Amino acid sequence: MGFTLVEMLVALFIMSVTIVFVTIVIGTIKGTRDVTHENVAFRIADSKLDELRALGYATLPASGPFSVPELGNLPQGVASTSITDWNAKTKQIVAGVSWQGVDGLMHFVSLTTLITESGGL
Amino acid sequence: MYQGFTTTSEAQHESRLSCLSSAGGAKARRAFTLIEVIITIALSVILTLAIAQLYVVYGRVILFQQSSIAVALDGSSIMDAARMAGMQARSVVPTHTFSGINYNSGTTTAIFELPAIDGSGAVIPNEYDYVGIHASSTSVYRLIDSVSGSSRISGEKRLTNVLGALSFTYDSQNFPSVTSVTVDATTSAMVRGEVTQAHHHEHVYLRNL
Repeated sequence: MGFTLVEMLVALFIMSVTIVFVTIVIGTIKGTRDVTHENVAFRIADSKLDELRALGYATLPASGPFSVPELGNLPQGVASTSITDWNAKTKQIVAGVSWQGVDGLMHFVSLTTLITESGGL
Repeated sequence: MYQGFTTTSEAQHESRLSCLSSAGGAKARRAFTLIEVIITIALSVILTLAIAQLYVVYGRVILFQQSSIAVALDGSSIMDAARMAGMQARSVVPTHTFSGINYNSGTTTAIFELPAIDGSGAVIPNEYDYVGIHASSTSVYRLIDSVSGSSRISGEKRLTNVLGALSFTYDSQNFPSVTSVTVDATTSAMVRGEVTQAHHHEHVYLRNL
């Protein structure tokens, strides 16, 4: 005697509920981790922009990577700034941070600001 | 003979029928065997346990995630408060009295002097508001003492109650000449034996020197 339809349906239902539960749990963990990392990345970029703005136009460094302790909180975290001339008396600064997301791909966030030679924005 | 044959036949038929019906009746009314009952009970116990376990694990994961988010947000709120105060500050002051209690700037307290601004965002000349970030055991408070007419509201706000460690370091020993403050904060909470922790470290530059 094999299984009846009802038995199969009940078994399938229980298995689906289990799978859904497990999927949600794993998804929640991954999502939270990604959001936490993104928050750290934005803080690093924001903090860097603030530092450059505070130090002023005259001392703006060249484009390139920078290192801060918080990068250690990101898996394979890398941070860099890109400083380009916006016009004769203004520079555009982009601070970008990239890290490896839970899905294995590299994620990237960046913030942009302008710094003028004299006066503030 | 005919009658006799019929009788015999009917008798046989009846007996077969009764036999069949009695057999069928026995089958329909047959109880579960002990082994079936045991298996059923065992299966339902295992299933109930498995589902309950899943529920418990899920609940714990959610709780842990919520707590790690809360801890990270609390750490962020300390940083945001320090940065908002620092960016608008003209200097760090060594001491100030907030609602009758005297606080001193140092490792766990930073007091900023900010030009007062009115409701339209204009600076009120020669009037200053004071904003203090103060750690006391596991809590961090933001204290505001504003002059009348300032758009800032005097009072005390608790930023977190899950502080692990907070330290302010200044780029100068002499408070009036401080231009940047380094804020290092660790927030942590214990959820069912598991520790969730967030660490923030930021330089706050005074921008109204």
